[in-house]
Amino acid sequence: MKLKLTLIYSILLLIVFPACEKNLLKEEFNNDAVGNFNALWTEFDLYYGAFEAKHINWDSLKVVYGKNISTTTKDGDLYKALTGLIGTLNDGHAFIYAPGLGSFNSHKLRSFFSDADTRENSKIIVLQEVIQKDYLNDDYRKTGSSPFTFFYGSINSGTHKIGYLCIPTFVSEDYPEQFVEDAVSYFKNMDAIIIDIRFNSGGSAEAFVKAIDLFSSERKLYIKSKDRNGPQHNDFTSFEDHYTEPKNSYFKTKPIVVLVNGQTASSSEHFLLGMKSQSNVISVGDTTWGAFSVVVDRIMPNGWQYRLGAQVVYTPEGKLLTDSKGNYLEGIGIAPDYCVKDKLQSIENGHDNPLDFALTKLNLIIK
Amino acid sequence: MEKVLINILLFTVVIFMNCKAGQNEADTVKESKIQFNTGVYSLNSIDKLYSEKMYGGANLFLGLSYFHGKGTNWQLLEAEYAGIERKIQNLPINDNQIIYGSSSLNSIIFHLNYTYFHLLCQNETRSLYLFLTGSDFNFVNITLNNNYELINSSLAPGLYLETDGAKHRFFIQVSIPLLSLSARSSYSTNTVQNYEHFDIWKDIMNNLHVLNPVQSKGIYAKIGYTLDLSHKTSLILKYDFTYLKISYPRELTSVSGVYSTGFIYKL
Repeated sequence: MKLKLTLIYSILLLIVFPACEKNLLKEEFNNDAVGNFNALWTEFDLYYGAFEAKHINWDSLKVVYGKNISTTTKDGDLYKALTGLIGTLNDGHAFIYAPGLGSFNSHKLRSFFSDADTRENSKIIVLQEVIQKDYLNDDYRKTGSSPFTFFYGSINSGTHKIGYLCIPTFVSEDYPEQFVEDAVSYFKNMDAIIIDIRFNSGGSAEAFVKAIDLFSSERKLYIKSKDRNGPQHNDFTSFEDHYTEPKNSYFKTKPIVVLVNGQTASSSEHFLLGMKSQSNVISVGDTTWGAFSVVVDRIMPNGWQYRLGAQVVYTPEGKLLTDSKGNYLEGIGIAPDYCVKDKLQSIENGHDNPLDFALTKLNLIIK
Repeated sequence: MEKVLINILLFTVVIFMNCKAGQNEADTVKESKIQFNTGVYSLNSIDKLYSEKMYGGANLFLGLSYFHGKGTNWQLLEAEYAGIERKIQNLPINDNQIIYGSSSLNSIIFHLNYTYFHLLCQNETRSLYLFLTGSDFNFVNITLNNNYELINSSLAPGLYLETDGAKHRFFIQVSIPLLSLSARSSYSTNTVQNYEHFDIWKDIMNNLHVLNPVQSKGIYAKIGYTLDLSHKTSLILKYDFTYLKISYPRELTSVSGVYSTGFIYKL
């Protein structure tokens, strides 16, 4: 009898516990317009790094953009409210993607060229072909597929031989580590180097750090950063120092030009900052995109996705990375040492203006 | 729901506690047993460091246990392993939909437990043990740059009750962690980009914290049945339930249920 009772009770427990498994978990936000609006607002509130750096009153923006949101608000109106909300941040890493409705970047996308309103990748390929055909010597090497074609070679410029390397991305899966190392070996006997990161929209820290370490020759602190580590807008980790860690000294006495433009973003901007810490490096081109923070990706209850930056970046002295007017550079970008914009018409005529300028400049400074 | 479960478990212990301190002569001989288990490990969790969404899944698990002791005092060493793909729940995703975060987490789950049992009381049909478990739960997410989601070691006292039948035995045990040493990913967990010069061991040490029962709540429970097949061998069927709620640095709630069958061999 006792055995039977025990058996029955055990079976009952075996039913109760498994049935409880999922019911013990409850997602915080409902999948309606209010829940979705609050989910995005709350996660930005908990993670976004630059509220104070950009003087943003996030609470008041919730009132402004959330006042017309109710459980019956339609998807289109919710999307409009959310894009309005994150649009106020003007941040290259603040992004929302709503399948069927579109995607929105908080920072206005720029045209690829100063004389034409286009963002067609085919035009990047035209530029790459001009460089390969009209500038590089015939022994150039390339790998990867368009528009992420990595290529390097040499350019005869006056009496000098200049090494040229195009790094179109720092996405780990597309970054050919050995190929870039081969380029470094190839450049040992060159008089100067040009590293082209125009149209490089970023990737992983792992890749850009490897590249910095290959081309730098001085160990330098190039930025400091802090990550959000708590719910208050001023909850941050202590400073993290970011150093260049040279792997060789091949280029110690050789000038290096880094070519940049408005599509140079995120990891490639960090690459630029690392390279600019070196005494032998100058930048030529256009102001970069302006997206420095590491990113956090999230999914809303309805499946829409968004991205935000949880980091703030500082100068080696520990001051906020700003322009001359004191504005935080997230959403503004890094101005080049020499401003020479990409022009589609010049490219179509076989001329790459920033590259021409870099070659002229290098001829003047090569010792 | 948490309170309901605790009440059920306490009720279970109380109604079975009609026993006296003491031990049988036959139980004074030391013996060792080895147990191999396999079954289905089901894991559902909401880890707000990664997502507001629930991720859940189930897969085969393997377990190996070693018992050593006698009637009054027992030691148990358990190791369990499962590899589970936890998919995002409550969200239909089209095959062609781009996911910038993660729609699934490929996770490795590894447990290592040491438990010391001490006989509290015993009668003809039941034995009640007090036990202390040193428990270590580890969730590693392969999807997220091989990053650890949770390393949680805790000291959990509990009660183990066993019915002593001739061939059939039922058992139930429940424990609650009192002190936990827990490492979870940093607050601003990065799900896409790799870390720069990332040293996982340094990161674990930086994120290791002692948590009290308010910061780390949990219930570990087991219920099962053993059938003696011979003098040396037994068959075991059991269900293991684990509920964890860790509030630091952001809330992680995890529920796992393990249905398993095993074979016990007396050495």
